[in-house]
Amino acid sequence: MVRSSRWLAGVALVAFAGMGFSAEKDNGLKVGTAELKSAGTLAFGPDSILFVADTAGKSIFAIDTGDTKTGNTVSKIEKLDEQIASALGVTADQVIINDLKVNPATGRVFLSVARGKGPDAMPAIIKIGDDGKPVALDLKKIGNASVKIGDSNLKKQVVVTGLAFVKGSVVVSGVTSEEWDSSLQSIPFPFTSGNKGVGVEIFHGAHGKFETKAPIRTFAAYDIAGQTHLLASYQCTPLVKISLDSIKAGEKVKGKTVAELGNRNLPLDIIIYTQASKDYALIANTTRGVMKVSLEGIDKIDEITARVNGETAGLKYDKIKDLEGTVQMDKASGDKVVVLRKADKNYNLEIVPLP
Amino acid sequence: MRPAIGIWLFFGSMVFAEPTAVWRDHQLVVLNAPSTAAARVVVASGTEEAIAQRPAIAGEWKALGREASAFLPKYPFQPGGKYRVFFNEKTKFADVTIPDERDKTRPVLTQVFPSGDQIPENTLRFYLVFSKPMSRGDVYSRIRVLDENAKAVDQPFLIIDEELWDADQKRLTLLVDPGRIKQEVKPRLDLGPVFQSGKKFTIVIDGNWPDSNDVPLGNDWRRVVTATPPQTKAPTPKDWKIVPPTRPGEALSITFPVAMDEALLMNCLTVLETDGKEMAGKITLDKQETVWRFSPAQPWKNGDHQIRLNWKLEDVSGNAIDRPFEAEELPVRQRQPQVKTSLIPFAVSLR
Repeated sequence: MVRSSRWLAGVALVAFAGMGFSAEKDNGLKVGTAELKSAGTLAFGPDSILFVADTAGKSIFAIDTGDTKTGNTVSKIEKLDEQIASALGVTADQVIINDLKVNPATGRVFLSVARGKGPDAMPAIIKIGDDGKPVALDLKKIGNASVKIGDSNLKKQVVVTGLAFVKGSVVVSGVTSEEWDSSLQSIPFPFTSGNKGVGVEIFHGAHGKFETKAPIRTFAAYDIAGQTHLLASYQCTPLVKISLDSIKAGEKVKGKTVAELGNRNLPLDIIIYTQASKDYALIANTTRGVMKVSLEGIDKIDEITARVNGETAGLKYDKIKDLEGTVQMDKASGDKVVVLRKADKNYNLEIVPLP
Repeated sequence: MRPAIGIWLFFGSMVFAEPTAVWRDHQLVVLNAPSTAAARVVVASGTEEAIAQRPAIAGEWKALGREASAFLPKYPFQPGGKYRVFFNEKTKFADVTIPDERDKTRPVLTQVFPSGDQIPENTLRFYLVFSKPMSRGDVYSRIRVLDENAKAVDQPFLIIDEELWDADQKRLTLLVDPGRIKQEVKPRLDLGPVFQSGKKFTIVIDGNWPDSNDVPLGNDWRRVVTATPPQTKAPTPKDWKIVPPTRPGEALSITFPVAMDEALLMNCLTVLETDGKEMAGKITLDKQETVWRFSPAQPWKNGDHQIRLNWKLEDVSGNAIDRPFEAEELPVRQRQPQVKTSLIPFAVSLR
C-alpha cells in the first residue's frame, strides 16, 4: 500500500492538535525574501509547503506556495522550457530546469529553474497556472524558513540529489565535491536552530565481500511491512531498499540491492503508486526509458548478492514505450503521471494516465 | 527658421511620430507612446510567429516625463539579447538589442588535478580549475577520455545533474563513475574500469566550452595519462616523510608515497605551535600532489610542534585515513558533530 497520503494527513493532524484551537499552524515560516541562491531538487511537505534544495546557498528552504485550492490542469504544454524562458526574459538556452514536483494537495506542477548558466544565475520557482502558463513565484514576499547543510568551505559543494518529507522530517541525500561521502541527513521540520538532525552514512556491498560508501542518486519513501524504507538508486546499482528505522538505531545502514535494470543506465526519478491493490515503482532512466517495476514481494525478496550474468535481475519490470524521452516525472492527481519529455530541442510537459 | 514652422513641426511630431524603443542609460525606454497600458516586452528570438505569441516578460513600466517610459524587468535583460516591444497593436513594435558589455577576455583552464601523467586505475576524482567563471549545464559533453585508439570511453564520469561547481564556478569536480571502480558491481563487471592499468588515455577538454560571458576556451586541452595499478590501501602517517624546517623561514614538508587529493591536502593539515595554537602560513603542493609544504607567516621557534591531521584526507582514489574506498568491513561513523583528527608531533631545531 502507498502510505504517503496517509502520513501526510497524520502530520497535519498532529500539528493542528499541538496548536490547540487555533487553525493557524506554526510551521516556523516567516513572510519575507526567500534568499535562495539556487533552486535544485524539490519535495512537497505538509500544507502545500515546498522544500527546495539550494546547492549554491548550502541550504534547504521551506517555501509556502500558497497553493491550497484545487483547480484544472492542462494535459499538455509544448516547449515548456521556452515558455519559462520567455516569462523570465531570456532565450531557452539560458534556462536549466532542475526538478519538477506536483503539489499532492492540488495537483499543480512546480518546477525549479536556473535562469542563466554562470555563477550569477538567478533561481526561480515556477508554478504552472490553470491556463497552462508558467508563472514565477514572487520570492521577495513569501513565507519561508531555511536550514544550512554542509560546511562553510566555499570551494566545497554539496549537490542535493534526493529530497523527501518523510514522517515529520526532511530526508536529504547528496554528493560532495571534495570527499567520498554518502551521508543521508534527516532534518526535523519545522526547522529549529541547533537541530540539523542526524546524518548517517549509507553503505553498499556487492556479494557481501566488499563494501563502500554509496551516495544516493534518487529515492522515494515507501513502507515495507509497516517499516519506512527508501527505495533508492546508487550511482552504480539501480535499485536498493534502505530501512529508515535503522537510522534512528544508529546501526550500520546498508542498502540491499533488489533489482538490476541493465547497464549504461542511471535512474532519474522514482515514483511509487498503487494500481488495482498492487504497488509499483515507475522509474525514469537516462538510457533505458521508463520502467514499471512490480513491488510485489519486495518485503521478502532476497538481496542480490550473486553475480548477475544476464542483463537484469531481481524485481520484475515492464518497459513503458509511451513515456520514452522522460527526464523528469512525478505522480499527478487522479491516477496520472506528469512527465517532462525532450522533443527535438525543447521540453514538453504532459499529464498522462499512469501505466 | 520661422516660428510658425517650428510650432508645426513640434505638434507634427507629437501627432505623427511613431512610437519607438531605445536602450538609454541602461534602461529599455519607449518613446512617443501615449500609453504603455497595453504594451508588452518579449524575447525577440525565433520566428516572427513565435515572437508574436510569446508571453510578456514580467516587469513594470515607469514614466520618464510625458513622452517616455522605461520598462523595468523583474529579471535583468540578457546582455546581447534582442527584445521586442509591442505597442498598443500587435503590428506595431520596435526591437532593441541590449549591448553586451561583459568581460570578453578568454578563459583559461589553469590546472587539472591530479596533475601527474600517471594516475592509478581507480582514480576517483578530478578537479578542473579555470581562470574565469564557466557556464554550467552541459559539462559532461565537454570532457572526453580517449583510449589508445582515440575512441571515447563510454560514460567515464558520474553524471550529477546540477554539476559539482564551487561558488565562483571556476572549479569543477568530476567523479569517475564509482560503478566502474567498485569491485563486483555490474557496471565494472560488464565494462571494466575507466582507466585500465597499463594503458594510455587522453583527457580532452572541449575548446568550445564557453565561460559565463559566452567566451569559449579556444583550443582543446589535452593530457595523456598512463594508468597504473589500483591504489587500494588507506593512507597512513607512518608512511609519510616529514622534514622539519632547519631555518626560521624555511618550509615544513611532508612527502607522501602516493598522490593525494589536492583539495583535501589544502584543508586537512594544520600546523600547531609549541603552545598548541594554529600557525598562520601558506600551503603549497609539489611533485604531482605528493609533496605538501607549509611556509609560516612568522618565523619558526625551536621546540615541539604538531601537525593536526583531519581524517577526511584522501588520496586520489578516495581512500581516507582509516577507511579505504572499499573494504570487507568499513567502520561506521556518525557524521555529526565531531570530526576525527589526530596529532603528528615534529620538533623544530633551528641551525
